[in-house]
Amino acid sequence: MYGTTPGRRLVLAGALAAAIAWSVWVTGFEPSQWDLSAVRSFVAGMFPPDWTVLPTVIAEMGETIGIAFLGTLLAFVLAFPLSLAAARGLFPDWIGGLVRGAAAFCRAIPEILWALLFLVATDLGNISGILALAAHNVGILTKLMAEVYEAAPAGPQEAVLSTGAGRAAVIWHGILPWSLPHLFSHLFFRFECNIRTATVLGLVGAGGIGHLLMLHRSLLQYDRMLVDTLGILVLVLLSDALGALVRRQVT
Amino acid sequence: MIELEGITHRYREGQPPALDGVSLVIGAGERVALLGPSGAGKSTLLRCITGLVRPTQGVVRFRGRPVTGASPGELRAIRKEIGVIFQEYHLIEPYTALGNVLVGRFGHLPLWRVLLGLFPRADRELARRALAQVGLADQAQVPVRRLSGGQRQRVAVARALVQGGGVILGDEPVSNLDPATARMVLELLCEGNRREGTTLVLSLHAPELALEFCDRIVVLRAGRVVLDRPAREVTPGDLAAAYGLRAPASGAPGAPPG
Repeated sequence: MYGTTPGRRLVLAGALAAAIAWSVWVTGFEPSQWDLSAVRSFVAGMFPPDWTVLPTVIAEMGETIGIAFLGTLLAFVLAFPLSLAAARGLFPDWIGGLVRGAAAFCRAIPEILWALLFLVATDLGNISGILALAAHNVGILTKLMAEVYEAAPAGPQEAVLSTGAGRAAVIWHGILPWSLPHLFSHLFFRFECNIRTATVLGLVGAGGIGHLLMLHRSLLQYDRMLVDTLGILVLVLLSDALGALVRRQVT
Repeated sequence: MIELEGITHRYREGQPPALDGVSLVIGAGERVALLGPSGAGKSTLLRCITGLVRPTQGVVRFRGRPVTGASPGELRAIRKEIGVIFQEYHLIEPYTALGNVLVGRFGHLPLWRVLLGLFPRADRELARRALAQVGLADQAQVPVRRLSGGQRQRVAVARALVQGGGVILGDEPVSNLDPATARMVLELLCEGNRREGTTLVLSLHAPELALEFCDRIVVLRAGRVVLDRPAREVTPGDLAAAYGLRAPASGAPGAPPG
């Protein structure tokens, strides 16, 4: 950046200006037309917060955690064999290529889209949330876990191989003991992300605290929405803290 | 027992070969020392014998069975009979010393036992005895990541001992041990050789240990065998010449050590 010539800087500035102009044009971003009275009534409606919904909020927070936990766990159970198949050097290349392709497909579709698909298919809120998280995260975990195995030191694997043991023993004793802390680290990080995602999935109807928030919004109960929002905030902060704690223990 | 025929191996096309036309026949019960400067091809040679390296050219046979071109099943059967001590130990870090020694029994056990880590009493006894032999009886339950370099090397030796295939290949098996412990470990390997006829092929960095504990000296340089002679006939001049150094006293055979 610092090494650029004045001419190049001019081109960059022009490109930035053009990007801004184009974006404002396509989005209709026009602050002078904002209706601030709506904001006023919305904020006024939030206070005082209606704490009577707190027990429901807490119950729904629990549901969100449950959705995130089961979704992560299901993804891990599926990703475990898949990641072994996807890792380079363990199984024939065509199997690895196939699995890596399928995993890329799974994670290319956002959780919220998976949730909408499963909602249509099953018509069940919580289960759609769990399945959506599992479907997206199986793609992520398969890739991350396969990369862990690929980075595992070759020495112990060779040592196991030299005893005349087969591939299963090499994977089980040569690769996994070294990989385990890294796998858990990835797993807890995904759990943490999934708690956040699960709140958003609720907004499209896939259960939990997000679902409650959407409900209160549609009933124009802004005083309750504030409590829902605080609940989400607490949930995300808690999952952050928990994740940091667990990663310190594991690695 | 071990036959190498015209082994040439290049790790990469266009690079000088790690092994360059090595032919070697090692008989049952021999104690062979592999000497030579680092990069001479000692490790590659040992890895060719167990099929961890497939040489670019040449044939390796073990007990009459071809290693080169063996099917995965045949390779496993061959590897089961060869205990290997790796230069970098190659231990499983989170496991205990005993757990690492038991890895040496994997080839003999059914898969379910290997996966569940359920070892028969006889194997556990064997592993404990091997640990005691290398002087680590009281470290059996310690994770190897907490052991010192020398202790880890002895765990690796014990793992090769319990494999019990009648052949032990050692890639610098005593490089990290103090002189006294190095002699103890070599003594232990030689005892197996005397009592059970275990064939030993050890790459060593110290020629004096090779001359003392082995009955045949093979020196490699730049991937070629430059000396192959019974240990008692090898003179310091031979070694100096084989290593490509100026001989202590003109390098003539039989010259007194300078």
